[in-house]
Amino acid sequence: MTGGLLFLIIILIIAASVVAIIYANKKAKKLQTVSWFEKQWKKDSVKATTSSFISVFVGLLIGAIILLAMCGSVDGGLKTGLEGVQLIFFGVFNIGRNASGNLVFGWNGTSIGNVLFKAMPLILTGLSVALAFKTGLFNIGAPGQYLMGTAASLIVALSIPTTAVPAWIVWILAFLSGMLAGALWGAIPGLFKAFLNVNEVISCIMTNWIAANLVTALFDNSTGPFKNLLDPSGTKNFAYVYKTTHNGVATPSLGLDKIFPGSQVNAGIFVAIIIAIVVYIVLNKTTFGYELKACGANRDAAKYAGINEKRNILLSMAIAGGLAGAGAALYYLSGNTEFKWLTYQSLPAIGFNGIPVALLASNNPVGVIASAIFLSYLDVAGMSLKYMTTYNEYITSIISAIIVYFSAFALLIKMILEGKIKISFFQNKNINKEVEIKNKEKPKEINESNNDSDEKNIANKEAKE
Amino acid sequence: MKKLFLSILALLAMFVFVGCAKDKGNEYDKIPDTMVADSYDIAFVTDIGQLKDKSFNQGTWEGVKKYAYDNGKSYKYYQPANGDAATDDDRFDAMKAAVDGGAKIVVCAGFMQYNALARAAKTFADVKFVFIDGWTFGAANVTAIVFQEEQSGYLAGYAAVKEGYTKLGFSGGGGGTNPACQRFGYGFIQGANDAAKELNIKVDMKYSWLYGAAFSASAELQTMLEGWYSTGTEVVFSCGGSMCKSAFAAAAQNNGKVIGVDVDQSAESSTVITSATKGLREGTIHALKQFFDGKWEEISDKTVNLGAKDNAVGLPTEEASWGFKKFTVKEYEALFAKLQNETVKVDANIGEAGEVEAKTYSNVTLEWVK
Amino acid sequence: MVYFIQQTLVFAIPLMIVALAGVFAERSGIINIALEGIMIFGAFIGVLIVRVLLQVGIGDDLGQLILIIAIIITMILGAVFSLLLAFASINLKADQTIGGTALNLLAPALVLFLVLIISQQTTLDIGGKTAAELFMLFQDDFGIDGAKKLGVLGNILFNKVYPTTFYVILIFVVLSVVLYNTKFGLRLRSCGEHPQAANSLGINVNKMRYIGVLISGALASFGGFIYAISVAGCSATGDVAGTGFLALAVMIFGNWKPLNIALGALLFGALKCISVGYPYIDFNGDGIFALKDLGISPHIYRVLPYVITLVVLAFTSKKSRAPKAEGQPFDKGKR
Repeated sequence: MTGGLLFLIIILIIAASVVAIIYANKKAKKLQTVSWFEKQWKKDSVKATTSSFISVFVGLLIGAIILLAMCGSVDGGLKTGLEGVQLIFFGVFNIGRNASGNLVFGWNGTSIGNVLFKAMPLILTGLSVALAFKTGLFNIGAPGQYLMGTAASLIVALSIPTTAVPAWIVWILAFLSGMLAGALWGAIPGLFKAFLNVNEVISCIMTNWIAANLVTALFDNSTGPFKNLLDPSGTKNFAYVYKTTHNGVATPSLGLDKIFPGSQVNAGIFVAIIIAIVVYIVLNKTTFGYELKACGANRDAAKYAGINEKRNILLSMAIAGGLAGAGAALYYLSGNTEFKWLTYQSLPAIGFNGIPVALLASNNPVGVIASAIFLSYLDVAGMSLKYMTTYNEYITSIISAIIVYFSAFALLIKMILEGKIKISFFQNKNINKEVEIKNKEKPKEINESNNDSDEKNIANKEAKE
Repeated sequence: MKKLFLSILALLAMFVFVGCAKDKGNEYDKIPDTMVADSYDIAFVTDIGQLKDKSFNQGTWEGVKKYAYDNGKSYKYYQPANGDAATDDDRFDAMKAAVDGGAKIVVCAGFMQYNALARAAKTFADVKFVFIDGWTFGAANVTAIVFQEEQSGYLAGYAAVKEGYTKLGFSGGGGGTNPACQRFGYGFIQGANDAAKELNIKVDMKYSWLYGAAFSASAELQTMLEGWYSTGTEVVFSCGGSMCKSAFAAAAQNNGKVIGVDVDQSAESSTVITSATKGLREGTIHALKQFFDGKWEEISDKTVNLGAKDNAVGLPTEEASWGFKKFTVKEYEALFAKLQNETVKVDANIGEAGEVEAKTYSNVTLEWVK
Repeated sequence: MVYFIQQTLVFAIPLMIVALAGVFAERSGIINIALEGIMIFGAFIGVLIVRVLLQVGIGDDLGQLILIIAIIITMILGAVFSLLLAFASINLKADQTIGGTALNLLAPALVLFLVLIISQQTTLDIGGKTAAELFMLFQDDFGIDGAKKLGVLGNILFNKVYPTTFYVILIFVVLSVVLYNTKFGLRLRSCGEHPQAANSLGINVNKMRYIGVLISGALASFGGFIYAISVAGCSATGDVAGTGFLALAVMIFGNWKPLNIALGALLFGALKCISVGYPYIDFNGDGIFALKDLGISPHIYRVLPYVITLVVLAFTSKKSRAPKAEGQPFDKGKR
């Protein structure tokens, strides 16, 4: 179907659901009960998700506006602009052009599979940053931890001969060593913060670059201890480390390649989702998780409550590092990815991309799954934008940044949704407005009690009769 | 709220500027890089680095653009995802997108595309592929073009020493793993060596692959080159795409000179005295012409090795590009003729990593900067 | 030696001015981690203005004029860009880390998007000229005869120097005086230490914080432009290689005091220079390059700046004293 048709269908669905909600609420009011929608609405998590959705929608909208504003400077004019807008919203479902040159949308298994594949390490780096945020730390060291995880998992996966040890054991060993390497590397900024009071942002940045140089030194093609793991085949010419398939190790695809043919997806996505759920359970259902969150909320209060906050900061950074390392392990154990070892001048972007993932999900581990998939979706949509039109893929990065900016207002949007605050300019006006609102609420209560008494009167009258 | 709107408006007003700032350059720049069509007959899949890197990618792309523009074909470039961390799968996806976009012939630049190209050639058997800087592997829908870069480097090195420079430098990209750059460098050494032998002098050469893995300019590269210039180096052969920017900046600050690579870079900076070119544009145009003229069979599954005898390598001899005062164009052309009839041979065997750097040369003191 | 000091200044000058930008924001109470993003934005704007001016036809003999116009516009637009952070942190009381991160994400995306549309690649340059040709001052520009050999100090100050170095030193001195010796500076600092007390004296805390962030934005984008000129050869790549975050480190290391920040920036600049240029540093002009012959692996030299920074921070962070009220949105009701 064409883009226009798809837009129409989505608008109809939204309109229908809005009508349904209004109708259900009206009916519930008549019956003096609370409708299902209102019950859900009272939940905090629903409000948080809604504010995330609003951020996403506003971000996409602004991106669309920018594209249309730019269509004068880009070849193709308005038609390209409109195509760009369609691709931003539905890029993943694009299956090419039909005979009349319009974009057509439908089930595109390859693109959707690629979204899941890209999301796989992103979920874990997002978890890494989100967990650190929950405990009050800003883990900007995810790229360095990711690199250490890469090096460790590749070294283990390629060095243990699969003739002696079955491939699946090698896979598990490599995965665990990637996690361990990341955890150890994350512990360094943790140590500095806990015991030496060094701001973790700065120590993380330093460790990022130390990791980049360290990994390059490990694989250096003239002096590195692991230069035997470099791929010499004509096209790689020692610029890359072997793919793990060289040693027969690769993540199985568990049938996903039938559902999403031609894409790069494999079973690692399940591992990532399971880890996210485990982190959620640990954070919200265990004492340990509670302690971590308490340290994040108020470090001094936690200390006076008897929680060893230094140990918790260290552990939290270590676990965050381990998650990032696990992400790297999953990515490179897939078997179709290769690692360019000359990395001392650049840090892997996927480490930094975990930050918007965590912020969009309000640091909720399960929300990270959705937000990572969404941001990967934006990425793939950006590439299809680049391939199908004359725009470039950075518009989706702009959209991600705008979404993060608006998610900063999540609290504010929540309060707007609750009707408590109207946007004002300087705080002085805010207080006045709050007083006004309180005054307005008072007469309402009087009215409502009048209503109640009216109904009571009617009920009494009926009872009398 | 007013302030927020104002600031957003001010930022959006910037977009207006964008139109003013577009490139107005040479004849190739006049051909637009993007065009809108329902299907794109000719596609170009880029190598690592920028599209307009003023050398490898740009040279090939200009060939594609020119042929398409002159012959009324539609064209589009595809960059693999993930920038310089692109995997074979990303390159394959780019080729697939090219084919889905309607390409009849896809030009792929850079030997690193081999794995992806092999897969794509098998999957899309009725689409033709032109492999620049790579070798054919038995597929009928693939043709390959490689260049004798060592001859181009040889000419540059010879000219530099004959001009009177005794302290040379070579800054290459790809970390020492890119065969094309390695051939450029090895030829450069040999050319300098032979010229020095003739003049009976010894020259110094600093040889480095540092800070060039991503073929892009960087602060570290500029600092290193400034270090070279400040300790006496006179001319640096910058062999690696956008790395030339750092070389230009370092040279301009120290009255140094630069030798460009792949295409004539004399318009990019006044510090450029010459460029070791290879006929990327012409080679690409030739292959495209063969295909669209219906003569694909002549080049199918053949690797063409273009060199001096095909006029596909050399230094640009136009007056505006010739930065030498002592070394004359006549001397250059005499040397070039010797290369053509193979009186002078340049060794192209770069061997393992570090072999070239470890050899001793009769008149060149090579310092491998690691 | 001259090479060493010149290269140190190349790295240190942007660090200095951006760390000062951080100080102004944090002293007024707003954590500004968007320094990196504002630098990227400033670099882009500066290079764009220079490019447009050159294309319009203002020749390269008017290089200094182009530079000044570009600097002024960069500072103005940098302040406008930082308004986004100010609005989010002050009016909407959002978490300042998030606002800063959003700007850090927005700036490179926006810059690369526009640069790709302008020049079909991810670098925006000024087309054929180099920054050195346009902006660099050589000794004849100062009236000193070109053939005369200057000593070390003379070479650093008068030969092959960018005028931006002098502008930065001037701004640094002026703003330090403003911060510590004027009424305005005192009020600004009080908003970062105890905003409730400042408010009770009638100072409009929000307005002060806005001004702090705006100054911060202007200085940071100026720093980005300097980075583009001296380090990136007057081109905008949407990336400043972490200089913004390094400036945060310098600010914390300098304990939020301008003089210490200047010294810290020089130290880091020196380390960065050594890590790359160690074989070319000749400390006392005797032709011996001491560091080259030590035989230490280049990998170690490359990690040296980061390791030393960590060690220095480990020792100095105990006494670190940030402005007390930074990071907390101003709430009149609190004590």
